[in-house]
This record gives sequence, structure tokens and C-alpha cells, in this order.
Amino acid sequence: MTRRSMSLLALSTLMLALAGGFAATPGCSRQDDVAVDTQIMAFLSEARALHHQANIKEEAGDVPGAIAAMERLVVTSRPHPERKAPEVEEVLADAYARLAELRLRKGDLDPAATAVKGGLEHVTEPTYFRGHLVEVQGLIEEARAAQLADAGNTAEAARAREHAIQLLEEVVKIQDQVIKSSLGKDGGP
Amino acid sequence: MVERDDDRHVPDDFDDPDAPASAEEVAASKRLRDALEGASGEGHATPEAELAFALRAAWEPGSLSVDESRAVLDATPSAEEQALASLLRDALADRREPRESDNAAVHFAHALRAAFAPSELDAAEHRAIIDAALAKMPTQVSGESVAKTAAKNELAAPQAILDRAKTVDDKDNVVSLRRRATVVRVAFGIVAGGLALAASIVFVVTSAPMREHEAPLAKARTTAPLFSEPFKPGETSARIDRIASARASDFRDNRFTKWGVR
Repeated sequence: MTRRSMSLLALSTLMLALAGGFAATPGCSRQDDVAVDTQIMAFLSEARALHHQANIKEEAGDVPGAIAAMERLVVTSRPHPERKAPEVEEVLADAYARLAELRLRKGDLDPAATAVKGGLEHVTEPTYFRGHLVEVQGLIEEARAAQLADAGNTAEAARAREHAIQLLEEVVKIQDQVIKSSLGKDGGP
Repeated sequence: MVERDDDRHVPDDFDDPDAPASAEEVAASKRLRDALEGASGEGHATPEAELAFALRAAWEPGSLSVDESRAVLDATPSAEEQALASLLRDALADRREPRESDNAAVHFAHALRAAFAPSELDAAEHRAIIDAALAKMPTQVSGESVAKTAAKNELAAPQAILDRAKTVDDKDNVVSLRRRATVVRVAFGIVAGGLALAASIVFVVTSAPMREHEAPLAKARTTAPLFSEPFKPGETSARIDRIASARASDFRDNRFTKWGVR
């Protein structure tokens, strides 16, 4: 082996070793679970504050104010954007669900449906959060059917009603899955 | 009104040159006379006596005693001593190196001055000293052996050894640059190997499983276990309260774990 080859071999070994050591250093990006830390707690605290702010405005009859509080929550910066924390995703899904409910109360059906769609992106597995979002989606379609019926659009009202039934049926399935999954984890039948 | 003679005032300290000598003056005169009649003026510390002796020595000098004569001779350098002093002064003045023919005192004075205020060596003198020192070393030392020495000592080879290698290489007409390049390669290999070993240790340590006494940190996870039934409308804030409370407990546990109090 020539001296040049020896030098290249030593250099390659050095680079590989440094890369391995860097990758093993705490703080380097790794696809492991993130611990409950300050960032997550800060996000949860902010979410809690905005939910209670929406409560106060709702009790005062200020539905647009409550909607504004939820709109702030769903666009706030998230902790660990490179690694999704389940709590954060679920809190965001619930915030979208509440936003959809508030818009539904105000009669803004399309914006409400848009909020549901945004929430479903955060919870893809069958959970109470996803079930709740689909439930709100069913309620929106139910309200849409009523609006269409009041407007004399019988055919569209029937389609909206059918869609609402399908969504609410999906809710039942999701909740059944959640219950079965929960019983399985608890060691039940 | 005419002033009368009886009224004239005569001061008490009036010095009358014609006044008869007082008893004190007579005693002082006797002491001075006795001193001048003595063999020497030693022991007479009064200014009057010293002045009197000085005047008499100048007017009528006396002969020196044997001891006084010897003391004068001892204090006076001889012609030989004066010649040696001149030689020493000249030798030190021109800052030249002492010659072998110089007096031992010249060598000694030069050594003293070199120790007290050494002068700078010029390049030629410096080289001559190094050559003289290296000439006493074994002449078979080569660049290769120096490289091996450096490798053996893990780069701790002093610069003097490397300089020695260069000197010997020059003298032996060996291409010193190739030897030096070999040293660099060996040094690079050792450094690279050391860093690789250190990085490997870091990898092993950081990827090692958690110690038994360390509690695992609470990880971010689904909040589904916190809820035992489907959500009802109007309970959203109650849910976030529950989630935040549960994760606050996890967060405290994690902090205690990181502080090592669990």
C-alpha cells in the first residue's frame, strides 16, 4: 500500500469516526421520541389560555371573539416542528374542532368544514379526537341540509343529509375502534 | 539740660582688650600649650588644638613613624600593579576575546563580565557551537531514525531532533524533504487514529443504554388514555385543562430526573 493510499485510508477513517461521534452526540437530530419538555409545556399553557379566553367570550355572547381566540391557537408556533408530539397534534385537532363548532353556531358552514379538514390532518388514527372532528363534520352537513331544505333545494338537502348520516356512522365506527383498542390495552375481551 | 558723666550707661558685655585675662581664658591657654608640647596631636579634639597642630605641621613638618611610612607605602600601587591594571583595563575596553597569552586576570575578568552581562552570539559563532556539540553525537543518525523516534514518542520529538535530522541529512547529501514528508505522514496517521479512537469512545458512551438508577424521561405521547368516553360538545376547555395538568406532572418528573433526584 502506497503512502498516498495510507493517507487516504486514515482520512476516510477519521471522517467516518467523526460523523459517527457527531450523530451520537445528544442534541443531534434523531428520530426518537421527544420528552415532555419546556417547549411542549409552553404550547399547552398557551392553548389552555386561549381556550379559557374563548370561554369568557362565549359566555359574554361574543362568538366572533371566541372564534378569533381559536384561530390564534391553530396558527401558533408549534414545539419540535421536525418531530410531531402527539399531545400537540391532538390539542391542535381539538382546537380545530372547537373552531368548527363556533363557526357552525355562527352559520358559517364552509369555514366550519374547512376547520374540520384542517383538524383531521393532525389526527389520522382512530381516536376520540378524530371521532369528535368527524362528529362535528356530520353536524355541519346536517346544518347544511337544513339550510338547503329551508332554501327549497330539496335534492341538495337530501344529499347533504345523506352525507351527514355517513359521517355520523363513521363516528360510530371510530368510537367502536377506540373502545376496542382501549379494552385490548386494558386486557379485557 | 546737660547730660552728666555719671549718667552714661556701660553695657555689661563690653569687651575691653586691655582687660586682664579671666580664669577661664587662662585655663584654655594652658590646655593648648600642653597639647602643643605633647608628642602628637591625637586625643585633642578641640578645634583650637587641631588648628594649632595643622599650623605647626605646615610650618615645621615632623618625621613619619615606621608604621605611618608603611601605611603610606601599602596604599600606593607599585609599578607592576599599575601595569597589570592598565593591561586589564585595555583588555576589557575593546571587548575582545582574551588571548591565550593574556594574563590569567584578563581571562578571569572576561568570564566575570560574560556571566554578568553576556553579549549576543553572532550566527557564525552560534553555528560553530552547535556543530561542535553535534560532532560529539553518533554520526549514524538519519532522517528515517528520527521519524521512527517521532512515531515512537507519539509526536513528542523535540524540534532539536528534527533539526538534527536536517543537519545530518544535509551533511550526508540525503534528500531531506522526503524524510520530512515521511514524518508528516506518520504524524497525520497518528493524529487521525487518535481522533478516530476518541470519536468511537464518544459514540460508545453516548449510545450506551441508560444506567439502571436513572429513571426514563416521560416522552410525548397520545392523551387518549386521559379520556374514557367520547367527547361531548362544550367540554373542549375541560380537556385542555386535563391534558395540561397531566403533562405538567410529567414535566416536573422529567426535571427531577434530569437533576438526578430520582
